Amino acid sequence: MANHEASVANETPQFGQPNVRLEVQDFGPVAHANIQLRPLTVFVGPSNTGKTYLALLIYTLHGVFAGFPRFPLPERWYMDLHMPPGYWEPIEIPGKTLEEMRKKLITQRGQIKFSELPHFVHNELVSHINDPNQFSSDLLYRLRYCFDVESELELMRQSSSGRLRVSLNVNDLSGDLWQFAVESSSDEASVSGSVQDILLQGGNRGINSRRNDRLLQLLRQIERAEEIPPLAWHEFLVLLINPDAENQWASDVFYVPAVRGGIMESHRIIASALVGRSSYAGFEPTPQIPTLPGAIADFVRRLILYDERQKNSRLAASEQIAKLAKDLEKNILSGDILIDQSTTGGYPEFVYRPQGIQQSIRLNRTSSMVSELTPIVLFMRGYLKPGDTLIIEEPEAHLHPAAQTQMAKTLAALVRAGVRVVVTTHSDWLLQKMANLVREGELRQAQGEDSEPDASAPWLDPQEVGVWLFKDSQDGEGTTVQEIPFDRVDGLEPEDYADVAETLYNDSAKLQNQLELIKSQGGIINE
Amino acid sequence: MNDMLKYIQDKIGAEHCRQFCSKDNCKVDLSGTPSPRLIVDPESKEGEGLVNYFPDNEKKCDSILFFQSPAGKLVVAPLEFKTGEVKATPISEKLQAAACFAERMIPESCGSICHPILFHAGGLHKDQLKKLNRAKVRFRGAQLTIQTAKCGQSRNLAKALFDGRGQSPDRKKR
Repeated sequence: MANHEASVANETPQFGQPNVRLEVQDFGPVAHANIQLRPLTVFVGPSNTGKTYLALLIYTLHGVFAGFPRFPLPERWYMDLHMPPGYWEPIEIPGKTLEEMRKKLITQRGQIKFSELPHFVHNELVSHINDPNQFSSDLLYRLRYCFDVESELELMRQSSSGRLRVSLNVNDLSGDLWQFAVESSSDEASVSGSVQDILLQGGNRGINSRRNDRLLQLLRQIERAEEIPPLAWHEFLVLLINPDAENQWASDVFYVPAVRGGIMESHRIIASALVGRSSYAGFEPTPQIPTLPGAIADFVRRLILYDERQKNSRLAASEQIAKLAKDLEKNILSGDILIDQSTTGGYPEFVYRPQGIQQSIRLNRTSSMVSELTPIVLFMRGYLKPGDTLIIEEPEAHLHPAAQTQMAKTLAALVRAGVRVVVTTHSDWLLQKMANLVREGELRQAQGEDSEPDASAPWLDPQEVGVWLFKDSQDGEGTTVQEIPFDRVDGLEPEDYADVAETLYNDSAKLQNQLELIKSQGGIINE
Repeated sequence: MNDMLKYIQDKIGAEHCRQFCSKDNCKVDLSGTPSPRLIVDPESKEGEGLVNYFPDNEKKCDSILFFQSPAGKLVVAPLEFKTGEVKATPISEKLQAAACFAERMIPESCGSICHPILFHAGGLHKDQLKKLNRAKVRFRGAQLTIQTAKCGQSRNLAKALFDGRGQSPDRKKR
């Protein structure tokens, strides 16, 4: 399986972007699934088969593991870098060890193995992935948060195993990187993980020079200091272990739920209701405030805090994504989404202005298509950047078939821009267009064309796309998930879509034939 | 076998009739279809075969089924099996040849209906269905639409012949 490399990124990671394989057992309606996250991952299948469950699980895991890096450092390792130096405990590292590391980094073409790190560092890092107090507690907490459940056991499918299992396997061009699994039953929750002896990227490679300069600068600082500056040592390790760690804090995941249209029209009411109730705190018994799944709460929060004026620090490449949003506005919405932040407290109001008209229209007076697309446009304009993951439930919702095919082009263009995209869908139009974009990719490859991104003519590599069919067993045994491999003739469509079309056709044929029979027997039929 | 089926069998020749419809990789499940029935093999090699009725070798369908419906009509179902590419025009031509053959075999006084059916092995694309919908088969003045069924599926013939409620398309008026 090819690795996804962001075409627009100036500094291509040496090992490629990590591949993620996710396996679940008895999770929600899903009895078993083993899927690989691709640059474009598509979940198809009937309703109530668990597509949203897995999409939410990806959102959850992305948050826990900070976007599936080469080495799963706990989130606090990144967060701690923002703490003042006094926060850190001094770390004693023998000068000899440092000298050895420096030599290895310089002489071994900038590469050292994980096992070559000082033992105490090695052990501490490995212990994180097996520590029930680290990732597993983070994961269980985030599962409860994202799915709005009091216990993860509410997510467990009733089965003979009585055990919910989620496991991750991450690899890249250099091979397997790490594994992590958590199991939960009514008796216990257990966690297991392992890290391979991965090759760490050192400081003298020609790529990612800013990071490498910083690595060597830190190493010199550590060497010069009589007492090792713990913050410098910590930052050194973070940079060494995760080549793209500089951007790790900003690497993010966005969930655009199926209910986005309704939320776009009512988020002010939701927010004002919550604020209104909060004023009772301490004076009256705390009212029962209904809760939202965390993924939806995050979505609402991002809308409330939306401010494109804070985009200054964003990477230049994300300008390309903002341009894709403009194309989406032009080609599908035929108008612009505007933000009115003049309201009290800067609470944003999103309005739609059709092309050629000077008047803005509030979303609750526009077509449902506008409400559906507005958050996608906003996230592309204001949040998304290469390396991020965008999860959209049913991107085809409320779109005309032509607009659905345009949406497929936008998703492909996002992939080309380095965004990992996950969608759930029921749309054969979307899948047909995706298949054509893959054929386009094959054609480009056959013609030896360069792979420069072109937003106006996006394409997909067959290996970049993973379409996963969720199938209900019909006998209470739960959903199983299998891949629909790309076929040059049949494309990416699940078989049952053709069955639905054929059933409709045969219904039509039978009715036509009955009418013909009456007509041929002298009956009167209005032509 | 009732008189009408016997009459048709005698006219065609019993040596050209079979007990089953299936061919090669396409299995047709006869369960659920009325019995007695007559299954004619247009490609029969017995004697001179049916060359007089099907002079164009390219326009022979795979099987022709005759039976009496519960409502008393004689039903003829020309069947074409396709495990490869589905092209509407040659399929309709084969089914049309079978419909013409049936018109010659069935006495004019006998009330009859025709169900041209394509059995296929894979999914049909919407474009293919659209073309099939336009490729009509004429039978006794009616322009009939080709129905489809999947090879190997349980009760595939009965599903094609009868509607979802198990009713024959020539059901009597209320």
